[in-house]
Amino acid sequence: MFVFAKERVDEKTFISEEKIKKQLESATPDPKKVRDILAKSLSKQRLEPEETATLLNVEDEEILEEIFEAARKLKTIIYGNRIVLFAPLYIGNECCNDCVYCGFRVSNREVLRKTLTDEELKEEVKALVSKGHKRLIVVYGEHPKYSPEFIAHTIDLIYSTKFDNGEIRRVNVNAAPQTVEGYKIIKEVGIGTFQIFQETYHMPTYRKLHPRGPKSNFAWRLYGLDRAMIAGIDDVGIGALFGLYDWKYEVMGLLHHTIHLEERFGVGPHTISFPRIEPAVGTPFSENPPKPVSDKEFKKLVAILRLSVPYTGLILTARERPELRDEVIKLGVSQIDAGSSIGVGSYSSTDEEVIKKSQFLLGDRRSLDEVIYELLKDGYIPSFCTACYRAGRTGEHFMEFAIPGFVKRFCTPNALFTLKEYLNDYASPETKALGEKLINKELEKFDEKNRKTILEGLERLDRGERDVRF
Amino acid sequence: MSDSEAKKLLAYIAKKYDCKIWLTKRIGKRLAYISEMKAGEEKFLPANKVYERDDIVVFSEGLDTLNSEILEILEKVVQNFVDRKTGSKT
Repeated sequence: MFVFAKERVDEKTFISEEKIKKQLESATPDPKKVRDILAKSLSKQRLEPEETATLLNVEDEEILEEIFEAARKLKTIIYGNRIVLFAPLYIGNECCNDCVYCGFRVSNREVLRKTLTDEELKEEVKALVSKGHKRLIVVYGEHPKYSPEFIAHTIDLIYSTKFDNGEIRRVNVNAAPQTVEGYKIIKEVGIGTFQIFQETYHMPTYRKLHPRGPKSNFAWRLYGLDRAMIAGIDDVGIGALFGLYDWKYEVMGLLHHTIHLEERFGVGPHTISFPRIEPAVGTPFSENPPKPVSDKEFKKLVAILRLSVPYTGLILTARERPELRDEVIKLGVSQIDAGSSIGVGSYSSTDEEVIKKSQFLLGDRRSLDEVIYELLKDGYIPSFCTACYRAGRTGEHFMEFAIPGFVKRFCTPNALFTLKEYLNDYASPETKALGEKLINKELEKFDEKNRKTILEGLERLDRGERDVRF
Repeated sequence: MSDSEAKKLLAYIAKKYDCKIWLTKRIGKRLAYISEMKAGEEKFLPANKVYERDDIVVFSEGLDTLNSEILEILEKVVQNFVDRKTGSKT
């Protein structure tokens, strides 16, 4: 079975190239049909592949604008104006794969190999906490050094590292696919989401771009999150690296993956990521990807993903430039990274050779405070909330209360509490002033009873209490 | 106590006290939902921590106070999971 077999398998998986291509070829974007699909999405129903294919084939500018408008509306209905913030933390860049687009690939002689020691990891965490971060995604290459025990050890160390008032409260993981036993070891330290990006759902392209190493097995990776769920990890994240193959095909692949998880486990992925390939040191392929995605296409794919999977979080990374990020966030993004540094060890030390320890180059290099300031200026509530996963409200259990009104009513107070904590402990005077103004404005939207409860929480934070949750 | 017996007791609380109730296990900072150990309809209320022993934490929506009956039941249900960890029962 694909879930367990590690040897190369060529049989069919739930991703059928023939089926996806047929769905894309046969979908005609008739305006009435498109509007019916948008109405279905706005009623918070997940779209079927044929419906997503129809949206992907829209070229008419006016209809396209209707798609963008619907995506913006859906985002507001379900997520309100909250944006969850996190930072990536690279633990090590040693890797035995040879992915042609990746700076960490084994054959890249220009990259400097580095794995954080325990002491260095603590320093990295302190540096992140001192900026105000509460949520991390930890990233590891695929290497025998990065065993499940090693991964669990590093996460444990992150959770136990305190600095002043701060601490990391949620650690998400981006690592190689594991065996069920391996996932169980990692689960036991209390992780958030386990992410695996398939990179491309097009098997022939996948084979070509992953010539060596364990990652060359398409099916082992594709079923990696099935094994995670079998091991009891109920928060999983999927993703594709855009630029390797036709972007419409990849969107379809992400949707088919979502449907597969829903059908098999009763719950789809918690998040979807859609990074575009960026240049990396010693990696000429990354400077000239075979299927580059334009900014316009990128906006379209984000809007269509939003409409296709209303309740799945969408993650936009700092690979993108600030001005594009601002535009794309409105189309349905629920999480972004901020103040990111992707060199191994680069949060705690100023290293001239940081680029040589990085997987790729970032488009957005603003500090966390700058990003928060800009978000506040645009009327967003920057959030570091971790409440659900600390009340057993994840996976299939999350879906029980995932209705728009409640998500807003429940999540907004928690977002405000975490924002207030940031303003009190880490913000620049300008950000603090803007943040306080936004909190007051948001409070006006609640009825008297709820406002009173939220005010009590805010006062507890002012008195020095931390980690207040609704 | 089997899982189905524990579930029945939770369902009894949920029905009698018109609440939702579920069990979680503390794993680091995470309180992970214990699969299938829940009862009652979603009330769309904040989750309240109502009972805690060792690494097992019980949450509820709609249950403000614990009377002696609820407490007695929760002690039994939670004990069941604590015992599994310590291996004092099979």
